[in-house]
Amino acid sequence: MAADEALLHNFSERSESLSRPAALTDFPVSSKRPHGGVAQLVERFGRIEEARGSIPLTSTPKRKIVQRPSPYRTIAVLIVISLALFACGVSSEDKTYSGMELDEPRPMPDPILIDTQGQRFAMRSDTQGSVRLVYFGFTSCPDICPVHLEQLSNVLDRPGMPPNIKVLFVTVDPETDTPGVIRNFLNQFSVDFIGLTGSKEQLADVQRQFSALVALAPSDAEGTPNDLGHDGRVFAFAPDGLGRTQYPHPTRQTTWTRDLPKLAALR
Amino acid sequence: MLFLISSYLIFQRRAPKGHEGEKKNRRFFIISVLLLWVATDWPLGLLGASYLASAHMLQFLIYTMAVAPLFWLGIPEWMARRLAGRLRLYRLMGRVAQPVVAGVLFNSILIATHSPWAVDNFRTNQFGSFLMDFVWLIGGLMVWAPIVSPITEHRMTSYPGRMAYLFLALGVVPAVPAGFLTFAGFPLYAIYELAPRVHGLSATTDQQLAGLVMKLGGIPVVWGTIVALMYQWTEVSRAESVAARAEKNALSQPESLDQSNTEPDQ
Repeated sequence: MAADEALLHNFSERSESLSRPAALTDFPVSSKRPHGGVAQLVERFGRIEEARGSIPLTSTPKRKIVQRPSPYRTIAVLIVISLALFACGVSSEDKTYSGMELDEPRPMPDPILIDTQGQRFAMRSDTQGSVRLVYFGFTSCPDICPVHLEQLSNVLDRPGMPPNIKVLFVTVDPETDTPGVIRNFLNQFSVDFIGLTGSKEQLADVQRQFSALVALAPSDAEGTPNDLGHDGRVFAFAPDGLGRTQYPHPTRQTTWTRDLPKLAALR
Repeated sequence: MLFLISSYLIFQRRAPKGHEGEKKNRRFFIISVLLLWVATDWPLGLLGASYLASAHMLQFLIYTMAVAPLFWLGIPEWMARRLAGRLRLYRLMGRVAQPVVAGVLFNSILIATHSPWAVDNFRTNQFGSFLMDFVWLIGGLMVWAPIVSPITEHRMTSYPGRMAYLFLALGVVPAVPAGFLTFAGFPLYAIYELAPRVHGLSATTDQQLAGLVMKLGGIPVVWGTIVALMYQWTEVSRAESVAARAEKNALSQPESLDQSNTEPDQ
């Protein structure tokens, strides 16, 4: 330990004599003879540097130097964030279908209902070889039904969409939705959409067969019936008669466009 | 809105001598506040927030192309200086009013607030919607500051520079997202795609309309301002050349007088 200190002492003396310029030889580096120690060495060196002018001679209060970010860097960051946000709209997933996939494919039931021409219509047998999109709704529905049907209409009008796709709209309000009312309603979206109706019991049974929630018109405390609550899903069945996916509300056009050609190819 | 107008009028009562009767400013300010109301309230506010992308874009256009410049024009210089001083915004305003900074910030705001992610997340709630409107207004104030800031030293001085700035900041860059909207194969914004349709306007058509509003809606304002600046420039140049000629004549006249006076002596 003592040997180390002696070594530092010698070094400090030597470094002082070497680094002190001629003009600064009389600068009062220290009133006392140096007696070693790394701290002293640093202190002495600092004083010499002060004398040279690289460190201010007067002791100034320590100021915190805040380095402000360049405005151009901020701008660049903002641009990157903006572009990243814009790109967020595009994403890809590794699922076969973009819709809600079922664990096991389910065969399509084949109930017989009445179409808008007043003819008997078998839901599976009369749509052989097509993708069937089955939807349970009602014509006075204010939001979900028109949005679903509008989306489907827009998607099916796109160039390149397979022609073998049938939309089957099954009413859940047979008292209001006569075949004529259904036809007028569907024509707002597409004349090719198929409208179906039946008796109240028959329609409830069809909804059960498709595993849909049976539509209800809940009454309030005074016994006044509220708007019909119904299943918002579109049940999709491929031409092979199996249902693999369902499409809840809301389903975007990109989802339909991705899935429908895949479903149409399953013969 | 009433708060804005009443505080403005109260503030204007404290105008320094010689600045009391700035009717033109007052008119601009009141028009800008009324336009702010039109863009924010029913029906445009509701349609833009939940139903139509085209209404959303119209709102953006009103905020940035009408409310913001009229707001600046409505504030007299003494008021702007006093407010900037009290709120300690003078330096910040000066920095933001630099053309490159203002142009880049405005266009970053434009792109960020029209990204599908931002629209679908912010427009679905009232606070997000308000925030978006507020950011648009700030963006509009920033982009117009180099042209019509009431603080004269924050404005650009060169006329060609101002025209080029307007063209680049408000004419060129917005065309990029507008192009995306117009030519996108699918509706980009889920909120407008899945909203109940208004007057049978399909989501894709509505989006194309929004793109057109963004692309073409600003043209009358931008080019109108460029034409006005050009006219102002020619007027200023003419006045300068007349003044220069007059100065030249004034300088040359005494010489000729001197000459005529000295001639007989020679």
